[in-house]
Amino acid sequence: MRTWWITLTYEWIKMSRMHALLVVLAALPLLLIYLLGSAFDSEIKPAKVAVYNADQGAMREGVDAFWQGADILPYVRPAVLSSEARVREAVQGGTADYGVIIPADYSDKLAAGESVSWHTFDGHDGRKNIAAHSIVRSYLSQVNMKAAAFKVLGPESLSGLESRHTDAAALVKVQTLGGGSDQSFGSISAIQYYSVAYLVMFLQYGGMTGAISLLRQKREGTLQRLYGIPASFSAVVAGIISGAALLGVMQTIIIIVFTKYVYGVDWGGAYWGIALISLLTIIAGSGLALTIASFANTVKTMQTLFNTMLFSMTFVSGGMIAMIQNKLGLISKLNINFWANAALRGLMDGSSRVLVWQNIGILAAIAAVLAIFAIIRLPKVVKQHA
Amino acid sequence: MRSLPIAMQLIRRTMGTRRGFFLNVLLPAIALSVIAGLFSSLQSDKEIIAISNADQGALGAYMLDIVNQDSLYEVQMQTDLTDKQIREAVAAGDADAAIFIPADFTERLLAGQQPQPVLYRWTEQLWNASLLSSLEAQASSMAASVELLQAASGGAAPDAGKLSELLEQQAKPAVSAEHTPMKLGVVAANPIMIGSVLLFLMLLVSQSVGFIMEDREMRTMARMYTAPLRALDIALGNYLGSILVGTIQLVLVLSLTYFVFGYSPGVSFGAMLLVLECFMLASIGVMTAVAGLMRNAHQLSQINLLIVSPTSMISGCFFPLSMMPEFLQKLANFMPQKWALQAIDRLSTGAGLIDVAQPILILMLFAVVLLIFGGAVLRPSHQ
Repeated sequence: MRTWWITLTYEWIKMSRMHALLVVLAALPLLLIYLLGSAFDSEIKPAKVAVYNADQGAMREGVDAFWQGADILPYVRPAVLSSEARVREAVQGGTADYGVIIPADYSDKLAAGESVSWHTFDGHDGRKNIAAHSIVRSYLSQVNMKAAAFKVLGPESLSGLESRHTDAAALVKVQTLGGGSDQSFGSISAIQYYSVAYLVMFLQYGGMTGAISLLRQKREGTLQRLYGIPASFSAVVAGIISGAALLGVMQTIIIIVFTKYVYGVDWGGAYWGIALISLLTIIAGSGLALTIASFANTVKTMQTLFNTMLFSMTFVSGGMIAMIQNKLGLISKLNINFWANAALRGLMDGSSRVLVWQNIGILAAIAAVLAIFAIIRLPKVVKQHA
Repeated sequence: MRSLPIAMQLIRRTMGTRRGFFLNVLLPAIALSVIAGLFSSLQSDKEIIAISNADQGALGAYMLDIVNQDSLYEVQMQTDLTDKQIREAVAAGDADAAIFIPADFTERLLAGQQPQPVLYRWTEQLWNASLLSSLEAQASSMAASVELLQAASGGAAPDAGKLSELLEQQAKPAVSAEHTPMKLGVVAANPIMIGSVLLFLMLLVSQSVGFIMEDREMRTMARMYTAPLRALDIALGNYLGSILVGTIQLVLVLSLTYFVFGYSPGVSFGAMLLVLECFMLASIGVMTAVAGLMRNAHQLSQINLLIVSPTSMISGCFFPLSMMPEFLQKLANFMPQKWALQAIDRLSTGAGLIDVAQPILILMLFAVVLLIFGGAVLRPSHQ
């Protein structure tokens, strides 16, 4: 026990001097969570529309009033540009999401009763195209209504229109079934989603430090010297591995506290559950890393293999592109991340405890299998000639 | 060319062994092709709108004109569905939104009341918020039409035939929005494939810079300096080696994805190679500059993770740049990935190499400035 404790504390002292490692393990996940959380937040961002109004006729005023109106602001942010080429450039370069050009003969043709078109340019983002397009069309449909009334009922009919005031909101009943949250992240927010995904990913990354430490000490021969001391060798190895695991615990605390108080992430309050899931993830990650280390021999190969695996597991379980796991079928489930993510997300959105425990159960089974593998293969990792 | 043996040695160390070849060349190429395959099948589809028009009269159909008019949505007419069933379709995720027109729509509209069509959606998003707004505009203009008729006929109940005429007239619009086709780059909106190539390229470059670092750390570099070579030869050899290693990997990976797995964003192989080559020079610059600040190769590989993935994210390698907050978009100008993506995006519109001269020059500028900073890594360690 004493040997174990001493090795563990020395592992910690060593790790506390590896500033680069500590920064990667703590700051990188926080940075990624911030970036992804702010890129995918569900706040509705209006489409930026580049507008060029070439018309100088009588209708120009009405058109300008429409673009300057406050009622379109929730959906589109117009930017008035000075030529058609500028509009094209803005849309092509992505500084605008959509482009509209009002032709020079707009007023004249409309007054003459001929048909005329606004020219629109679709931008890169399909949904923003839809938004901008609907806004343009709803303005045009009002213009058309007036034009039709003018034709069918005569010019005097329009005088009544100006005094009309209807509450547009009452015209269509809208029901939002899913509540406020964004569907693309299930029932939680983007930042919650990515906090979970990167906590799980970096816990396993932390678990790898144990395997790296063992391999490096073996290469440098310092591990073999420890056979010489009058203490249990397995206690020493256990100390090194659990030192790395403890690092994972620290990571969990840092990530959860930081995201909770700085980013305002709601972790759901079931902290014992989170602790259990994190611990199982650390065990599974360390188990995987040690198993890989037993085949890899050198630190470099081990790192490459483990990084590749971790990257793929994070990817297929939806850690990079949200909810991709629902489209990939079985392959998305054959990894550690999927079950840890699902369990943590379950704790966040308060879904049924049975479901959460089911996910924890599967995660525990995976962790147990990987731990057993690791124990069987451990001699290959620590012994010079095993 | 006394630098060549040094360069060749770097190549042998990276991909000379069977394992090195597998890990550094084959694996990234396969991973990229898998990503390309996944993403071509995952292209986002149009929003599905389920519509049920239970209206007994003719006016409900006019209401829906605005949705039917063009191909922004995939419209599913499901007239036999009840209000409740169509609500279920949205709740179950079969449709992204649904519109229900009640049975008494025409009747109530003609009576001067406001019949409410219903829009169901799962969450409020920009596209359905503006769909709602255009439905409201349509409803408002229909209500206005009824009022106009009422006024015209001196307060009598409006004649349905006259109303149809009025709406018919509106259906042949005087003003329409004509969509002007314009060639848009495919990369800016769907950057993940090219973005992953950039990411892999940076990781591969960081590996060969890691080898140089290792030489320095193990003092083998100091030994090289005892050879009858100028310092410049050694530095050139190491740079050349990194460039060659990167180029070989790049050509192999690109050939595999282009010719074996058949992915191409509409950019010719040569142009793509040119841009990526320039990007690689810039990333060698970045990596050596970073390496200059690090103490050992191990530290370097860890710091690289910290540099490569967040900067790739900020510069739009995984999702469109426009999704980022404004200040991060500006920050992206300092990342070589952004310029490489921009160049490839422009090329994918069919632009010529002249049109991408600016981003390419910026990449070269990155390379030159950072290589000067990174020069330190190529001198023997004095520790």
